Amino acid sequence: MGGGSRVKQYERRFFEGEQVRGKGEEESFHVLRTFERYEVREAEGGGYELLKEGKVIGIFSEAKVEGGRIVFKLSKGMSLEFLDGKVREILTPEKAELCGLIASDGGIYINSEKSVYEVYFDSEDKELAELFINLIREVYHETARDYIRFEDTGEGEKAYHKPRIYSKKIAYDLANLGIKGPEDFEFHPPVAHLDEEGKRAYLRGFFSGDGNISMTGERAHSIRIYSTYKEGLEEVRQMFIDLGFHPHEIRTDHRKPGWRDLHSFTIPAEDHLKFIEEIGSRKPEHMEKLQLIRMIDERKK
Amino acid sequence: MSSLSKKLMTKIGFERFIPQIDISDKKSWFWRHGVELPEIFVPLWQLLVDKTLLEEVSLKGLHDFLGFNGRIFLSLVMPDELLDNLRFKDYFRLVKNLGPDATMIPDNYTYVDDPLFLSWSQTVRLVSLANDFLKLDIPLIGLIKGANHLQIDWAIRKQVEMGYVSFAMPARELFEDNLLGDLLPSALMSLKWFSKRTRTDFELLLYGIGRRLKYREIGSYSNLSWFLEAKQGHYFKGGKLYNFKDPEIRFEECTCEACRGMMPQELIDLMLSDKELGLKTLALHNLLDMNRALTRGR
Repeated sequence: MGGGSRVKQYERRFFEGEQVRGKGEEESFHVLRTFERYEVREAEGGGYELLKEGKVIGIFSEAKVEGGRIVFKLSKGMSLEFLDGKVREILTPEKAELCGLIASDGGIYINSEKSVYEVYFDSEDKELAELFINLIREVYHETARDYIRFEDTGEGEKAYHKPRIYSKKIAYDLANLGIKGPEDFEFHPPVAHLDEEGKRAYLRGFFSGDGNISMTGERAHSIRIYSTYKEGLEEVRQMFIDLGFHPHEIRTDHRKPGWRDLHSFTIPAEDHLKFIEEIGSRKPEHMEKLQLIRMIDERKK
Repeated sequence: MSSLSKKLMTKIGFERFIPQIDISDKKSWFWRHGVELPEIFVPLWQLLVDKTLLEEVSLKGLHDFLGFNGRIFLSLVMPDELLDNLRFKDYFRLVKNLGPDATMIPDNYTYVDDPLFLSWSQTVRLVSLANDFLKLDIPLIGLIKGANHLQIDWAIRKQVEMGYVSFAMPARELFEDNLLGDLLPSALMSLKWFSKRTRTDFELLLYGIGRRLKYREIGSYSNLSWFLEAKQGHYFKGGKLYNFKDPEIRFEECTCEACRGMMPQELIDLMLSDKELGLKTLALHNLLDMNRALTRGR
């Protein structure tokens, strides 16, 4: 059987066939970064190799080095982050924003008996429906379809946008992140898979659906995030704190019998500019108001 | 070495992909699970390390023992310590008892970091045994081996002179040691040159490699990767190897005969509920994917 190097033959047998990088190969790779037991090498022909104790454990087409961390691009809106010797899978900002949208006004429906696998989003805003479709396309390279329903509101017909995608892989991929359900209205931000950029994108998506900006007095505005699911809202509030905001405590409004309690918290006025710059919203109505808040705050200065 | 004999041989006519099997592990006997491929390689060394199995197979012959109706090729690529214990009479006895449809000539060991005289003596031994094997009355597969270009060229030339037209090149270790990119082109050059000179068409099979290489002169591939990688929980897609948990493939449905619409996530679930069935399904999937990837565009 012997061919190649006799020394490596012994190594191969010792390592029971696991791939071990040899000195000859090191010449064609150069070390990009070392994290304790891990090493990232760049290949001459493009691509990156991740090694653990000299053994190749992954090959990636793209990698981004930022300060003390390195991020490898995976597929379906996922990246592999190396930070302080720890490895985790994180969501790209696009996927994080999609998760935020689904958590606010969307959902995932899986019925394996009837083979129905649906990811959906409901909104009065055409722009948010388009955003959902674009994010699905960007993350999964598949196209969702917008089903428009017209309802008579008494003041004329109003269009409701209901974009949906029927795909087993997308439904399972998102459901496995635990972003929505299993109870009605239940949602949880995938905090373990979000870096700072991902957190901001998730909050942007969530706020676009379940956010509100209203006048509270002359030249004063309130930025409010609400939900009927308190635990999830607490997790959202904690994300704001993690990002350096100072959100007010959650307050609960008891509504008429048969309606679920509505929980909400507000972003204090001193954080409004930070909110506009770092989070923002995709809802046209919000965008106009945020622009107004920025103008008023800048005039106050 | 006395003068070399010569024999008129025709090409084996290898399929593009010939799976190796593990004769001691019935999970790799894919034809029992409804997958049909016309040829397999059976490595002799797997029998040599299990005397009871060897006796049983020797009594029945490979075809009866395996219940395989296609062509069975005997691979004589084996670990060094087994090579050293075999003389040509042993090979003849084994080949006669096992009854394969074709056999490789005996393997040798030619390390690039050994003193040259060792690899040369092994190369001479390979040619000498190739000459002895001409006495066998079954189709023969020559071997392309050597620690450098000269040895490879000489070994090919001598085998061509003896009439060999079908060749296998054991490539796994060369590939892993980053030497294949150097030695394979020279082997292809030699074959091309002898082909022109003798006006003979040769065929080359790359043995032990689980992926398609860019050289179009390589006619066929043979490996056990489809089965070994399945045992490690690795999944082939488009001829590339993935970890089961890789999101790139995890939720992609596969329509192959083995998966029948299942995605890797469902294979994981299947493995957890029925390990044997899960492993069998994964191995068959890998086999079908590799066959598709290696035969594509032919």
